[in-house]
Amino acid sequence: MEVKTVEGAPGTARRLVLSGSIGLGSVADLRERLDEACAHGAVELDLGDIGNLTGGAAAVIAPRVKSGSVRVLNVPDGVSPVLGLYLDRAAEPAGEAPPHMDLIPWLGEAANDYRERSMGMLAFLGEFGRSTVHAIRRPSTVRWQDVTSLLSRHGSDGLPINALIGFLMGLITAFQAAVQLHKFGADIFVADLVGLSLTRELGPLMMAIVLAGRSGAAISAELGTMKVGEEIDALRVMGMDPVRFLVLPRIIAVTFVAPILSIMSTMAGIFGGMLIAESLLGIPFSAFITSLKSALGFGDVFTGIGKSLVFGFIVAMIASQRGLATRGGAEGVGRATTMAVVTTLFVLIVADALFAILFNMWGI
Amino acid sequence: MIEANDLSIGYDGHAVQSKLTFEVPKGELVAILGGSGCGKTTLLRTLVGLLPPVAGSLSVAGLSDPSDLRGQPPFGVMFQMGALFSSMTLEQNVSLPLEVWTDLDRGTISEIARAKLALVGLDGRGGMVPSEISGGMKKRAAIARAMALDPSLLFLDEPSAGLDPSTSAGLDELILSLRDGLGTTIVLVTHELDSILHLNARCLMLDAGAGTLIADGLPGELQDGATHPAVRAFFRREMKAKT
Repeated sequence: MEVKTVEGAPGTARRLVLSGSIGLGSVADLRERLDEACAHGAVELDLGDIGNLTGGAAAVIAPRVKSGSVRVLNVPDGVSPVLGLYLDRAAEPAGEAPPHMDLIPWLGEAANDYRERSMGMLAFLGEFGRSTVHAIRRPSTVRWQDVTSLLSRHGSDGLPINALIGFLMGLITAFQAAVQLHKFGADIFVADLVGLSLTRELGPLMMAIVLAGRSGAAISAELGTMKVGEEIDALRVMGMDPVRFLVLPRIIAVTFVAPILSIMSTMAGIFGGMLIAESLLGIPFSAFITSLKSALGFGDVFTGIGKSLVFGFIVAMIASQRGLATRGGAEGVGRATTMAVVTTLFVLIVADALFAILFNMWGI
Repeated sequence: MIEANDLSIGYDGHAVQSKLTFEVPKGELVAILGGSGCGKTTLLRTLVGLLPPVAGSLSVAGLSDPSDLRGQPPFGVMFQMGALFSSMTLEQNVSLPLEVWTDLDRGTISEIARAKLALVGLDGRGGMVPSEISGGMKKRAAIARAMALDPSLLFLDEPSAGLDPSTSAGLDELILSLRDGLGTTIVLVTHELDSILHLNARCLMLDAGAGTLIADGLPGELQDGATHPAVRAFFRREMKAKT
């Protein structure tokens, strides 16, 4: 594309004479020349010598013609339909950019968003309670065939990763403890430390974190995709309660696999601790187990299992609620999944802290 | 613009339609017709390079093998459901091909994208995301995105499907104005008889039973003079005779 500028007499329009073919690659140059010329007043655009005008070029010329700042002259017959089409449907000039977000409105929006999410969770808890009561009265309404496949998907399929993480946690805890306790000649207490910390705290918590990342994210994404694909709406219009049909089986499955995963994870961790104690401190397996038996009580095992049950419930509840609250398309599913995992991790830590306080008050 | 010779199309080497021979010259409006499951969308997917031909030769906008596309595509495609990126606004959706395939600055790209949206009747909606607009608007936005790079060839998959008659008629008008105003060659897949008659598009009709093209002509000619029972049944809205 070539542009020749012809200066008119003072008070008359400046004329731009275009020649050659105006493809997409020339559009930025054309736009710049037009804006530059328009800054000095009215512009006449002579298209008499152009061979071709693409839609992109017409897209730039049309709004300026419509606004009156540019007048086109000598439009060739071949170009007229393209320009005519864009002139008929020219875009309005862009409005001003929205102002930057201020702190106060941002805080207000964030608080409102938090309130809406809290209300959503409360409503979901209510729906879940109603569905649970209905399921207890009529157990045959629960899709037990789904529960068994979900037990496998969220339980046995997740066992290897849970056991591996438990094993590594036991290994790390025992290693750190062995170095410190050896200084005081208290090597045998490695068994107590590993056993108690894994059974009461690390086992259930690490299991819950893995469960949130693995099963929670999967549940949230699955339900979210169903929501944006109108499958949830389809259930509702068929008279089926999505909470009873989809959520209840998932909550039952995840809640009941959690203690099993926690026990397996804890056992793998204790085994890791035994390996370190034997290899670093020379404590035989039999001595480790004897020490462990005397340190661990029924209350410790009970607290670990109890916490796992609650943690499993938290993971499934939050994942299901976030999944069913998904809005939008693929991006909404991604946002809901992220939100589910982040919220679950936060609530898990808060719940663990509450458990610590309660168990201390009860002397367990 | 398109040349197919003895073309067989299908999946995993299994042909669902064979011996397809046709040409689409520049600036023509062509409708690929046929009953459900006859292979219309398979043909479209083959023409745009999403499926390799099972056999035969194909040339689309100068590409001898559209499935081996490297560089800027010479055509635009509108998918049946729009296939707009849900995380992007409409303006961002239309801007994307321009950002990828041109060196234009952000301001110019934005101006072109808004003009394309205005062209399809979505002026002022550039800031909306796909989940906020109706099905008809999604299809319009998808056409705007397909036209972003001013392609000389446009493929539209079921542009009228699922739309109310008024929106569908508006979309047909848009298709005609693109053909007449921009000289764009348009190939559309449809089974909406009203739309075909209104567009007066050249019809290429496929049939699942015959496994090949059973008609090639303007809707008026086929409506009055077709001898093939499937073509007659389609254009006269009759029940198809059992074969």
